[in-house]
Amino acid sequence: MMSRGQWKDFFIEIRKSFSRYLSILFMVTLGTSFFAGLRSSEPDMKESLDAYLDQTGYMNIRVLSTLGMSEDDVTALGAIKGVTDAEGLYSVDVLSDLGDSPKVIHVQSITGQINQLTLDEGRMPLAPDECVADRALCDQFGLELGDRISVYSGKDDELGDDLEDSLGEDTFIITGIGISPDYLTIDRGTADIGTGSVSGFIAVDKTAFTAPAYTQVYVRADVLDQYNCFSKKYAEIVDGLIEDIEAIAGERCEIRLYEATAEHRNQIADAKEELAAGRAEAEAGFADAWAEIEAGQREIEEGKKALDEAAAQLITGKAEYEAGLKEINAALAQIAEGERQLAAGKATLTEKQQELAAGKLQLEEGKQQYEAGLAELESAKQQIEEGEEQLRMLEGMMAAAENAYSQAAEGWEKRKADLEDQQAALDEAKKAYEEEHGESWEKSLFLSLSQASLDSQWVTIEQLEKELAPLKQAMEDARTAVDESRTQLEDGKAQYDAGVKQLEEAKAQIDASEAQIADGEAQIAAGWAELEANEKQLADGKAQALAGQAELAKAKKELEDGEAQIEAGRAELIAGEQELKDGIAEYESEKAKVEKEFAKAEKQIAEAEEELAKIELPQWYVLDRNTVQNYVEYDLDAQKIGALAQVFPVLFFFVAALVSLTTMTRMVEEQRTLIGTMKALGYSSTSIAMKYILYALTATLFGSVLGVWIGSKMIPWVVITAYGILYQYMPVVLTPVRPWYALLSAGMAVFSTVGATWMACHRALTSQPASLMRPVAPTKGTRIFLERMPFIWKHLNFSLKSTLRNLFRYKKRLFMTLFGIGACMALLLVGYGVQDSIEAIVNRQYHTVWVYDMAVYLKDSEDEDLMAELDEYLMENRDMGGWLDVYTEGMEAEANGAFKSIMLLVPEDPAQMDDYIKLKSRTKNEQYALDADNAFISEKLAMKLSLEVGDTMTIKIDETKEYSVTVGAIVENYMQYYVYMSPEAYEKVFDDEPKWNQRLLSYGEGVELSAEEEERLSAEFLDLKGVTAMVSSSELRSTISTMLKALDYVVLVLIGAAGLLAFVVLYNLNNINITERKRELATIKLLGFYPGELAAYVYRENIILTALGIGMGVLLGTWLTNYVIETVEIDMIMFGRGIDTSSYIIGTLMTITFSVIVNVVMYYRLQKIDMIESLKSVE
Amino acid sequence: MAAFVECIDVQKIYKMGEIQIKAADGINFSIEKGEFVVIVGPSGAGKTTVLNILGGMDTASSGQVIVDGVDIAGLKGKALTKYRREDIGFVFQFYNLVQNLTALENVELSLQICKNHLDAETVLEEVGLADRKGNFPSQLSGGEQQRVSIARALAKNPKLLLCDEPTGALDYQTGKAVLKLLQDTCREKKMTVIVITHNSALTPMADRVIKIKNGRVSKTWVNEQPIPVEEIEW
Repeated sequence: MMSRGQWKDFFIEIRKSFSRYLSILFMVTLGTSFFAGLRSSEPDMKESLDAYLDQTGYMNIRVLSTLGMSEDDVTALGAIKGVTDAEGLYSVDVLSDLGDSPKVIHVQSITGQINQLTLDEGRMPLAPDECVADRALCDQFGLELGDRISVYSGKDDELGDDLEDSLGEDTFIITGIGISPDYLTIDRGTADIGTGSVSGFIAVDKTAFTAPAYTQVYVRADVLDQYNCFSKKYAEIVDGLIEDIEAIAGERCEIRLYEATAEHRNQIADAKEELAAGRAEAEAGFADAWAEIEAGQREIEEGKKALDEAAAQLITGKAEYEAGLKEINAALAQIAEGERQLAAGKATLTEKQQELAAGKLQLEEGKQQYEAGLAELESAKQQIEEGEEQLRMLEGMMAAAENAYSQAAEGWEKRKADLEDQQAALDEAKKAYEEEHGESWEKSLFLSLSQASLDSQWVTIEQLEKELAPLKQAMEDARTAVDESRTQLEDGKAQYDAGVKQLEEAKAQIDASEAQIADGEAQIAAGWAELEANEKQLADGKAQALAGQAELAKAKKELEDGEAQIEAGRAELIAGEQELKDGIAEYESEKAKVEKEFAKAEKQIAEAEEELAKIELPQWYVLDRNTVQNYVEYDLDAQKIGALAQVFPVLFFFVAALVSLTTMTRMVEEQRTLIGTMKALGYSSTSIAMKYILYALTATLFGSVLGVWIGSKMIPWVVITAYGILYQYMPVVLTPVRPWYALLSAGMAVFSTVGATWMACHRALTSQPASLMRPVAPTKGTRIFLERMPFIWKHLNFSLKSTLRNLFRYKKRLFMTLFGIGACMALLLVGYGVQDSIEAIVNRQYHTVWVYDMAVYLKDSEDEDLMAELDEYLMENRDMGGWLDVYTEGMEAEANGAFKSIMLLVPEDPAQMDDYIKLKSRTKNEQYALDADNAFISEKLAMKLSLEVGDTMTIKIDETKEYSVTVGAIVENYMQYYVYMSPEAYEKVFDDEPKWNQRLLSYGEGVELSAEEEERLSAEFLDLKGVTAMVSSSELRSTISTMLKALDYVVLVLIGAAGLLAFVVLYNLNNINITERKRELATIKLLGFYPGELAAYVYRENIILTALGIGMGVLLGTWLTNYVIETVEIDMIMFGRGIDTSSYIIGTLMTITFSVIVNVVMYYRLQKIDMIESLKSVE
Repeated sequence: MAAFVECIDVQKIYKMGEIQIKAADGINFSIEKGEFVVIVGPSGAGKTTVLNILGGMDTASSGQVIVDGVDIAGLKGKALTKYRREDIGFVFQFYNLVQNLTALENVELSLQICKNHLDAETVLEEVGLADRKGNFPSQLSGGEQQRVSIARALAKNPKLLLCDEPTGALDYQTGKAVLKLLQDTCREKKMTVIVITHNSALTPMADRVIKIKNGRVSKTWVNEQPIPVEEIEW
């Protein structure tokens, strides 16, 4: 179709524009490799597993029966059409002390062709006591070839389920270490003994088993090996086989029931017989014992009676004694009283005698006084007679005086009366004169002489009066002396009379006293006599009373003796009674024991009978691989990758197609003139177009081949290797090139590039040759919308204005660059974002959610000794900041039709929870505290069960008991499904008290311990009996971190892809940019722009585009990261949401770096632009 | 008085493999300041080589090119660029305007790198495009575009205005108008203008004519009475 010249032109074209050719090629490589690689990942994963399962002869179907399977069953299954092999498998879960505590080990028999083990080292067992040990078990507990594993039954001994019933050996030597296709992950399933989770398996020879029946039978149909086990065809064939197997199940089950129950029935009959014999023997023995007991009882009754009589007698004696004692005491009291009275009488008598003596003395004195009185009286009588004499003398003197005076006085008074008569006659004369004359009497000489004579007479009178006075005095003195003397005499007389009378009285008194004294003396004498008689009487009474007392003392002693005797008798009796009671008790207990034994035996027999009755016709369970958890999970994970493959490659394809389109369009446009010339020369449109189509096609084909091959090999390998962290016991990695995806991706690439080329050529080829030869008008300058906003536009500087206009001038390039850089940024974000999310699991879980440093598993929190030892150790340990006891238990939660295995955690003290496990929201800045009603659930559980705060979920224990609880809060958590409850809420919901089985330890705020220190702590903990195991947070964290390191591959691939994308897109577009604007750039250069200024003229656009692209990439990348994370998230684990700021920064920096590198390369291209170009005419 | 521009024995030799091509083979001429010079010659005679060397786009293989006392033949790299941006104004045959910039912006584009420049709007007014300064090249006619181009060169206030076939892409009348603008500029501003053309009809309007043939100056003369361009017919 093309001439030789054209071919030559074609090859030269490629050589000349090799960088353009390569850019298409690489773009296609990138697109196809991602497309083919990611799309292949799901089938590759499935094929790898299928290959491994075929290789190990993994069972297609397994048959389980409720009564086990017999050899005949196996044969019958093998005979089914289509079945190539059927093998029975024995298995039992046992315990073995590995590490620090009993671990559950799954012991299974080695099968021949089905489920072959893959040995890593050693050989298969040859003897019954040899085994192949699980790789995981050996890794975990450091077991090596030649080591021995001792196992024991994990069931309660009482039930009689001994190890011997299933295994003939209890110690196995490891002769080989390997893996089994049963287990793809580290998970070894669950068991109903020990910790409940199986640590690993050991495979032993069939002969090591003593069990009567196979646990299950594996069935294989080789025809299935040719189909992928995830394919529809496989499922169809398996379904057909299951039907065939179920068809023979009925018959087989009946046979099996008969076989299985024969032994059982015999055992029951034997037991019954044995029981009857035992019962008869026991009854005879008990009768004898009872007779003995009764005799003893009688003896004791008699003894009791005798003792009671003696006691009665003793009581009477005692009463008598008491009466006697009382009497004597009374007598003694009386005697004492008598004696006292006697003493008092004596005292009185003595006193009276003394008184009498005193009276006598007084009497004598009185008599003497009387005599003296008489004498005195005599002298007084004499004196009175003398006084009477004196008085008569005095009376004479007095009568003389009185006579003298009376004579003198009579003469004076007669003179005085004459004078007064004269005076009175004068006064009358005077008066008559005055009345007659009317003048004073004094004028009359007569009168005056009369008066003067009278006056001289008055003076003589007065003198006479004075001479009277001494006479009167003498008379009065004499009178007084007489009166005195008379009075004295009369007094003496009276005194004398009184004295006489007194004396007479005294005499009478004395006489009376004498009589009295005589009488008193007589009385006293009589008193004495009486006293003596009384004294004698008392002495007699006293002697009598003392004798009575002695007698009583004797009686008392006798009584006491009697009492002691009775006590002794009674003690004896009690001992006898106790003995009898013991005897009876023994009899009873013995009897009860025997009866209990019989009852137990009966119950056992009953149970056995019941069990026998219960043994119904066994049922077969015919299961395919879809009941194997690992297998199903693997399928789901593969599907997740498949889902991822739906979106991701499209991104690359889109970019690849766009890049090819611009590149080819540009190429065709560049060669317009040539096309026009060719056309003018007469070449057909097809042959002209062929050059460009071939150009694109060959680049695309080479790119596709490269891309498909790299992609199909590398990407599934990375994916499977990354999943290998989880499926670590899946050793096969197959990454074939898948023709369908190869063709599909190559086809899509060819379609898009060739299509783009055709479109570009088509436009040129339909034009007239003449118009092709004319230069294409340069893209017109236009105003951009920003210019309509002068307030902004005016403030922009000139270069920025031109840059902005240029950006909008080449719109196709603008979007391409934006998209290319955006995709690059988005990919980087996805890479780092996925890494962040996965690291967040570890970082957040162990740094911000589980802030405790170590969890210690408690053996028994109710054993106080063990706990005290642990407490003491913790108290003394300086490294310990604190601890919190918690209860954790695996349960099942159900809501809205979905159910999940959860871990329930109840802290002893919810107030302290924050120091060990943070209950907070991931999205909102909220902290929660456990309340007394609700359960707090982890975020992913809420998501999986579609729960919101306030909803109710059901918690199941043992499949049978159901409890409902309200969701109180949804908390941040990344590993496992957690439900947190306060002890109050737990009690309310489960009506039970939580039993603390774990202790969370904290080293204290900000304290970190080195690995060595933690190791030392662990060792010390294990020495404590109360601790069964412990887990250090930091150790767990580093283990998981190591596991997740493998994901760095994924990130590396994404970074590589992003870089490649950025380079190809940016280089290509910059190239086009420069080529298209060569003339403009040359002119600018010519105008004298320095190289730097010229570069800046172009770079400004690139910088803006890169910035915008990064912005777009941030949006796209954030969305894509979320999509990827939600797609690949593993059950039980929540990946972190959101990308770290640092990842945004790193992604941005890397994108900028890619952009800078491309622009640096472009710098040299710019410098090479020839200024002379500007002078040339437009082509 | 020393010549403003002087070429002394300028040679330019291109090597194409083993063959040496002498594009300029000892060119000698000198130009006075303020002269309107026409360099004329047939295609391939070496006019463009002279232009390139004078414009600082290319360097001479040997000889001296003295512009205002500086030997630009000895300049390299940045110094040569500096010479271009500060001393030379360029007028292209195809105008070489940046399509994405308006007339005014195209003038400003060259001004932003030049120290001693004139005001862009004033210059545009002088070339008669005051009304069209906001238009994009595509909205302007060829003559108008060339005026913008001249304005762009003049605004730099260069020592030398180099015009490469300024009328080559223009019709007769427009070409005349452009030439008039150049001639007026030379007269009014005392600008040294060098017009390179193959059209010998233009020679009468020049102060000095340099005729080049086969890489050498075949003839130079000075017109004592240059004729205004309006009076020339071709």
